[in-house]
Amino acid sequence: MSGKIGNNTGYSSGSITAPSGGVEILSSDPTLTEGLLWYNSTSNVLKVARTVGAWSAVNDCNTGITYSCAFGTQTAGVKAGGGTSSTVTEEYDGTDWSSVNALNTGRGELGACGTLTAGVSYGGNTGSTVAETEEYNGTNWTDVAGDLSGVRRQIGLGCGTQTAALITAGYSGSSYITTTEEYDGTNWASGGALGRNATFAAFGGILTAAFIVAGHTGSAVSASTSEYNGTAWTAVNDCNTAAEQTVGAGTQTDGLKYGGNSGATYYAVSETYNGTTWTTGGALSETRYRHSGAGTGSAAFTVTGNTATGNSDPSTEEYTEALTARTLTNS
Amino acid sequence: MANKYWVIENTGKDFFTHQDRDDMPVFQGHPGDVWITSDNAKATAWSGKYPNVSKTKAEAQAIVDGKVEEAQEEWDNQDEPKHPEDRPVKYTLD
Repeated sequence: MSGKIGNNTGYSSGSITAPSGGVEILSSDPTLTEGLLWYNSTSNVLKVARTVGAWSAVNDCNTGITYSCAFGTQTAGVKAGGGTSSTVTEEYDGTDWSSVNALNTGRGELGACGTLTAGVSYGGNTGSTVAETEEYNGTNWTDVAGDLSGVRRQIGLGCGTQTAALITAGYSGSSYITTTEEYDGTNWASGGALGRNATFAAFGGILTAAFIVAGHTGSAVSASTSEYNGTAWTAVNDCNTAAEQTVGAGTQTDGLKYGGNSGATYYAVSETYNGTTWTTGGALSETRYRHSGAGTGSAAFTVTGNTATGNSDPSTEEYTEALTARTLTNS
Repeated sequence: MANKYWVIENTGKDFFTHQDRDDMPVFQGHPGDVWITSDNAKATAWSGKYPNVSKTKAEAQAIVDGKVEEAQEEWDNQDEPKHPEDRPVKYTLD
């Protein structure tokens, strides 16, 4: 196929011959596949198919609050607790938030992971730091006997499932915690030590393939990332924006970190993680910290927290990756 | 039944297992490598796997208090920014 590029100021001009390879000239955009490059002769632009993530505002939750936890997915999510005493739990179906049965112990700064029908929350701040562990079955929270071995708050969210959960770092109210605990659905056991301070960090993945990124060291915000293999933590490449009070989602090879703050600097930025490198991605519609969220690396949500709109903002945003035709420019 | 108080360094993975937690209804970690366990044979067996020092409750409390005081001093000497609500606080062991 051959053709001539016209009206192409800013690009090389001349005839294009592409009998094999080269840039295909098409009058309309083709069916997209990742990395496909073509010239659209109708709009006279060079285009490429790329997977791009974007945040969009959706319906508010019912109770805005800081320091809540969240788990589940973008179409079956849960938000619970917050502040130092909230027991409020809400479920998200991808469209609306509904108030459901409350936590047994009101608390904020708690961790949580799992699914809407099999979740678990742990630790937190009731005014005192606690080791409390509760399980959620999609209807009720149940206070289980197997609490964390030590009290722990400011723990980000942790990650994993109700029968294979992971938490590391945090603060006890009297000291920073660098140890790890693993939950098997009954009680907690010790895991490999993280070996550094990281309060309000972001997590993603599962017990045997997890990451923790960012957080506060006690004296500064951090961009550090560490990966866990079920036994030991390994330091890997930093993220781009050091922050605390941020949130993570996804997996160790398709991770996401969004929002947060560094002192009085508040972030809307999100970053994606491919298992090696963090890349700055689509921004939240407004700065957000002390928020919660969950989901996958390509379909996540964030809810409430402090935003540019206000403190304990009930707003929700969804992150969705989609294969998109992007116009190439020379800028 | 009274609790047992130990100083044992946390060695990381499998330092205490899910089975250990089943065996010891009381199991708590505190600053200064202080551990509180049930006072039973399982706790004695668990602690025996590691170099350990048995403590009285008062001795354990003194260790924890000392670590908290260290943390308070460190916190007080930190440059800003720091979280005002995070100044370490002393507490009483169970």
